[in-house]
Amino acid sequence: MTLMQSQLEAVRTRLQPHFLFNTLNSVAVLIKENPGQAHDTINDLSDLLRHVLKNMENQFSEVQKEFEFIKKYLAIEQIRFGPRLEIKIDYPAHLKHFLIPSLLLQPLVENAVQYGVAKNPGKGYIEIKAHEDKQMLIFQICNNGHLNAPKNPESGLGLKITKERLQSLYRSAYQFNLDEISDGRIQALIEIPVIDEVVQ
Amino acid sequence: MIRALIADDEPLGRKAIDQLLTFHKDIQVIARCEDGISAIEKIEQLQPDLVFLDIQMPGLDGFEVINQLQLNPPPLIIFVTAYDSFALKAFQAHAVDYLLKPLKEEQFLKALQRARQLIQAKDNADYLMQLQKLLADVSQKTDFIRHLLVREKNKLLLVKLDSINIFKANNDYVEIIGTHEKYLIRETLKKLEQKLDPQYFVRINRSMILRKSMINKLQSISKGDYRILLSNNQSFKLSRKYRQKVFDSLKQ
Repeated sequence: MTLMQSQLEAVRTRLQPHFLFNTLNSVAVLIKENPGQAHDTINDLSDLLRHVLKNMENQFSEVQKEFEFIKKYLAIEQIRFGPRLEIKIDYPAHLKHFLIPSLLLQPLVENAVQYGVAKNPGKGYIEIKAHEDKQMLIFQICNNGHLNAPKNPESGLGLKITKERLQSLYRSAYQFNLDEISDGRIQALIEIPVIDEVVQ
Repeated sequence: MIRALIADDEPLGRKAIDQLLTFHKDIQVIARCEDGISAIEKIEQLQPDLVFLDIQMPGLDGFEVINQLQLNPPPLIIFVTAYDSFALKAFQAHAVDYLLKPLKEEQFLKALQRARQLIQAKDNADYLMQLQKLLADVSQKTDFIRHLLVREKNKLLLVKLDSINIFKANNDYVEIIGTHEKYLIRETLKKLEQKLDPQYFVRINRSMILRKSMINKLQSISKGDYRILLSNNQSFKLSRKYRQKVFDSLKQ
């Protein structure tokens, strides 16, 4: 394993401690208030951890699995933030089995939660979409917030890792932008080539 | 009866404390707040004896909440955090009570017991001193601010720095001037300067800090004196003391 790979693994396996402990705190409350939801949350959390562990070895995983992962991650965030967090996820069924770098979207979604909800009082929304166009896979992650806020080292790290990862996998055959596409609406956009088969 | 307030942005975070307080009939929760601003408003309005204060909250965090409180003496604070290695060190260094999430009953009881004693004791000077030192320690190491708390009549406003271009000293106050708005806060320019990100702001003389992107050109007047011209045609004196700093800062 090269140095860069090992750094990537280290970051990829790192579901933020803040997220983990807050989730455990929520579960502790739910056990008394709503045992069914406590049960579901523990299952979601286990699936998240399992997906992260499993993908320490794999560079790529299927779109469907990545989106399942994101959905579970956001389900937990929704329990934490309640009605403050509005989530929309949408991708066409034919993309299900396409391969993409594993856990590629995770740091960006985490940033979206951080900036769209955790740091802004009031309601926050997150919208995640995917589509295919001319042999390219396009992912859009949108959230409310402003871009020109001073950078937070954590978010800087998430963006840096994503960029380095894309560069090492696709050289220059990719696009990655983070923009405020309209007032108060931030979008992270990733375009990567469609790949049919990967030798893992 | 001890009057307590809970501030946490996560509903289940607030509930966790409610649950643990169920059997402590001497403590009555008088308000629950979900962000820093409403915490300040409620604390000042209701003057609780005890506050359970989560550190990570949107807008203003827990430390900023205490910093901005205009209440003397402040209520007794029990800090709550999920994970923050920096804050934990500060709590331990200053022997200030804190709770880690997930909350443990034993830790909770201990903090509560100490709170009861401090509230009953007439003299809590030691506690206030610890809290002061903690805040001083924390504010030294925290990030640059992204917003300012403004008090207007009976209203609190959180003003985003994005829209602010000029900070002008005015006795014990600083005027905060944006494109369409103007506010006044009680603060010194020196203290404010330390909290502003030098990537965006620069001090140009004894009484003014400017947003760097507003600066259009520097005009030499005579013998090394300069005027700063803004894109909206306003101009200000660049004092010699700050000249080199401004030059260096604009090169970045």
